[in-house]
Amino acid sequence: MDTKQIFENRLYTIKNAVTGKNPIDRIPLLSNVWTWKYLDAGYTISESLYNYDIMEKGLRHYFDTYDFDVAQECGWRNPVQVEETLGPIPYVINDEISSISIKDQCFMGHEDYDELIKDPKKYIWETFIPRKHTALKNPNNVENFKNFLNEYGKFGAFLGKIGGMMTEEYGSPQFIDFGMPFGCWDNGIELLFCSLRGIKGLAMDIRRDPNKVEAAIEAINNYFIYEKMASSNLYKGSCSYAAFDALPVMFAQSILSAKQFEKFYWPFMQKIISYVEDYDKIGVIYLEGENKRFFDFFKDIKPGYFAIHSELNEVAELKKEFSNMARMGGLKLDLLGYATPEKCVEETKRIIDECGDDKKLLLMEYKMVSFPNDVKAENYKAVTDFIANYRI
Amino acid sequence: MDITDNNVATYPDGFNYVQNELLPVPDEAKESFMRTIMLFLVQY
Repeated sequence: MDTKQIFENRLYTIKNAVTGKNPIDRIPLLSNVWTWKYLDAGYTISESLYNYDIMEKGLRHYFDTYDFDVAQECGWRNPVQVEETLGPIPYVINDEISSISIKDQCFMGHEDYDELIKDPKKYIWETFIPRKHTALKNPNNVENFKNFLNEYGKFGAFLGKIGGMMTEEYGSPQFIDFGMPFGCWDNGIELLFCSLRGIKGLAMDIRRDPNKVEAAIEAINNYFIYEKMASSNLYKGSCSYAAFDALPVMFAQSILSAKQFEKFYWPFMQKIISYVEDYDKIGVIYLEGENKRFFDFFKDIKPGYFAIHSELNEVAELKKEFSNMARMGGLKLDLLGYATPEKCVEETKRIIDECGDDKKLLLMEYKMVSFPNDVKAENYKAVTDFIANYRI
Repeated sequence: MDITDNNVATYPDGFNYVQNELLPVPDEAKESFMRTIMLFLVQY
């Protein structure tokens, strides 16, 4: 097959693994590999993040060496060069042990809820963003903002270049449609959890001020999600250059009970699910952590629209629970990082045979592959080659 | 268009200045792009 045919085959295989509309003859592999691929290419995290040429070399090494269908991360993670234009970055990078972590951030106080609810655009622009990006606290910050926009433009140009490289040179589609009318974790509860209040802050607010949290979620969703959807040119059918049209990435549910999930998260998810069903799109729901207590919510989704990936729930369990959705996962880092290549291939074959016999399986690492010991290169090579060539 | 103290971190003046004067996109895309920029600054 030439590159264009490879591209079309990959899109066809992924989309039909979810929809079940047409037969497929293999199980697709989607990459959940993040900083590991730059380390595997021989670069440090700092070298990669601070030099787009090196990052491109790392990505090329990854695409040249391993056979997979789609990569979730293609250079957009940790955009430190853009962030540094407006002040110190929140990451802790240690190249000696090849690690990168992020500090839990809380730049919004509990006392700020009323202001956020009243006018989220004003609060976020005038109060929250300058607290987080400290160069904007200074007067005469127009030049700082111009520098930020300049670096943001370079970052966008780099991602555009990589997107073209993936499509035209490697026949690999984008993971998601970047033109979709909402992002992956830009809804109210995720912004409160990941950015505005932080894990501890939101956990406490939900208990002592649930109505304000609910109102804040609605205010943020109205501005960042629903207004944008209302002004977007929505069209029926799935994107022709990306595997998925929607990717709700869920972190905040990890601190919620099922009852709290129903109040704080499910109304938003219902809107996203309706969008995918009504516009004949294809989505994947990603949930961090263990999520069995939420499974009943997702059982009424119409068949053929979604895959589900739950970090700590294995695909065998997902197959048993969901007849309406494809399942994503199956590759354990415990195995890829420590077993032999033969054992990794044997286990991958078992997963495909037992959990992909109905062809509603999309293989992916359960967890993000970040650190050197997460995966042995020889294991990853053996497994990716096996999956690409194993017919069902 | 001028803004007080050359400070973009005010609303609505600084916000409108950025949206109308600094964003390198056509007028019809400015509102959407501004929302994207804000999200970036909240998330990263």
